[in-house]
Parts: sequence; C-alpha cells; structure tokens
Amino acid sequence: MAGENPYVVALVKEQDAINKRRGLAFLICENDKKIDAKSVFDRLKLKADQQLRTGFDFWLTGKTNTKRFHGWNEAENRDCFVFKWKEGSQGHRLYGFLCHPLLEYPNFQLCVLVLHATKNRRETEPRLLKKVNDLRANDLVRRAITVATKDLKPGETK
Amino acid sequence: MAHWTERSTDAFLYRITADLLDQLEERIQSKSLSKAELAKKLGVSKGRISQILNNPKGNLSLKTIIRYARALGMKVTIVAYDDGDPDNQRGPINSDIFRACWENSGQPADFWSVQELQCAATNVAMLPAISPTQIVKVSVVHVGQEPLLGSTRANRLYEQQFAVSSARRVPEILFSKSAGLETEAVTGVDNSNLTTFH
Repeated sequence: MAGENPYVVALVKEQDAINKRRGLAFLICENDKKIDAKSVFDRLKLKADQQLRTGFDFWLTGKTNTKRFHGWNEAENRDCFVFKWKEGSQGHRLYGFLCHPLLEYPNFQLCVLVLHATKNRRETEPRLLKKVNDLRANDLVRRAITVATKDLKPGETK
Repeated sequence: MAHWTERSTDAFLYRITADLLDQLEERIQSKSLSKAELAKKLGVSKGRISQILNNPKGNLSLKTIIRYARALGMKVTIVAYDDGDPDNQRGPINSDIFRACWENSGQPADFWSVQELQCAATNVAMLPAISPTQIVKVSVVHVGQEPLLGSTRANRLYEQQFAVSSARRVPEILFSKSAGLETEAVTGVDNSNLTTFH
C-alpha cells in the first residue's frame, strides 16, 4: 500500500527492558536485509544470548562497561551505540543508535538496535556507522519510533 | 513477563557470575596488573585467566572465585536479599550497586556503624541513655502525610509511648505498624517525661 511505512520499531518489553530512564528496541525492515539486529538476536545460541542480555541489563541499569557496550565520542557518531559479545574468538556486534523519543519524558533514552556485524579488528567499519546514522536521520524511521513509543510511560511498563 | 534469569538457575548463575567477573576485571585494570602476573600469582596459565574472565561457564566454584578475588587483594561475600520482586521480573540487582552503597556509606564493618547510618539517613533521633525498662515519650511526625492529615492530627497519631530497648534508638518500625502508615522521619523527641517501667 502506498505510503505505508516499511520500518517498524519493536520495543523490547521483556526483562524490564524499559525502565524510567532507558529502553531497548529493534528496528525492523523487511525490504532491507542489512537491518538484521532483531533476526540475529532471535536466533542467538544460549551462551551468546546470555552474554548479550547481561550487557543489556548493565546498560539499562546505568552501569558502564566498555567490554559489553559503548558509544562514540566523535560528533558525527555521538548517537551511535554498540552492544558486543563473543562466540569463541569471533567478536560480534549489534549496532544501533540512541534517541530521546518522548517529549514528556525528556530524560528517557531509547537504544534502537539496527544491524549485526562480526568484528575481529579494533576499528569499527565506517560504513556500518554511516548506515546507522542514515537510518537515525530517516523520517520514516523516526515516525516508526514515534508510533512504537506513543503509549509508552517509562517506569510504568512491565 | 519474567526476567531472562528466571528461565533457569544456570541463567541466573551466569548473570551474577558475569557481575562478579566484571568486578575482578575492573580491579585488574585499576591495579594495572597484567593477566600474566595474575596467572603467576594463582599458579595457572594466562589462557586460563582469559577463559575465566571472558567466557564464564556459569559453573565457577566459590573456591575459584575466592582464590581470584584474594589474589587481587579483594574479599568476597554472598548476599541474599529481598527486593520485593518474588517473580523475578526485574532480574538480579547488580553487585556493583551493593558495593557502591557500602563504599559510599563509609564501608561499615560492624552493626553499630550500620545502625548509626540508618539513623542518620532517616533523621531518626538518638535517645539519651536509658535502661531497657524505661518508657520514653516520643513525638513523631509523618512528614509525607502531614499536609493531608494536618499537623495536629499527625502529632496525635504519632505521639505515642513505647518501651525503648537498650539499643537507645527509636524503634521506628513500631511507629509505622502502630499508625498503619510508614514513618518517614522522627522530628522531635520529648524525653522530659522519662518514667521507669515496673
């Protein structure tokens, strides 16, 4: 249907993943196979799943832990964010972006996870962050975030 | 919906082990200790250190945890707590939060220090030295409810007599239960009416 938004934002409502300060969500787009964070997350093996969820827990409760997640200092990537885990010696990443989608709750921060990548070298590939930034600035993605969060009352959702 | 650590005991164990190992790793970094040095202290290989820190199997024994902590000059304690979440919807409280609270409280090492901290935190007045059999009249104002109740009623509600134990502190829990409300602060102590309980 013309005008239909190809992007959907799925809030992670389990495991107290939305508290009064922070929340997690996945960006989904059937037309763009590179937006694969949700499908990768749903297929994780137990050990990887536990590693990543531990990182989610830490971030959601305000802990700092660069081994498990971090953002970037450079201005152009300051809203990008990554969660990390390992399977054997293989490093894995879920890249996404941070935003403050609720006017009534300006301190509430949502991390929208976008894409998965494997990583073994130190530097992040710039194209991955560019993709994340492009999506972050995309009006349709913003609209999808608004739709997903319109009834959200941080701290009250279980 | 329950937190993911409610899926199995192993999941819960993984999560709290990850908490603890992160603390050890932060300690290694803060002491600028190399993994090789730690391995030497523990009499294990460097690879074993990396394996433990990066890849917790979830079956790390308490003995191993203590050995690692002691090698880093740390101690370990085990705390069972009730956070009002019996169905585990929110997951475990991060051990760093317990540690931070303890450190921010001046690292109390005995129960007298804890009682003093509790009194200071809740503004609970300390009573003068009395015997366990004395009755002390204490005025308590429930600060949070005062605007609703009116100060006169609030004072009448909370101005009660209690036998005070030799701990010499107002047993604030008694006030709460007696009034059917939570007491937020003790704002005044009237000890002019000390009498001996026979």
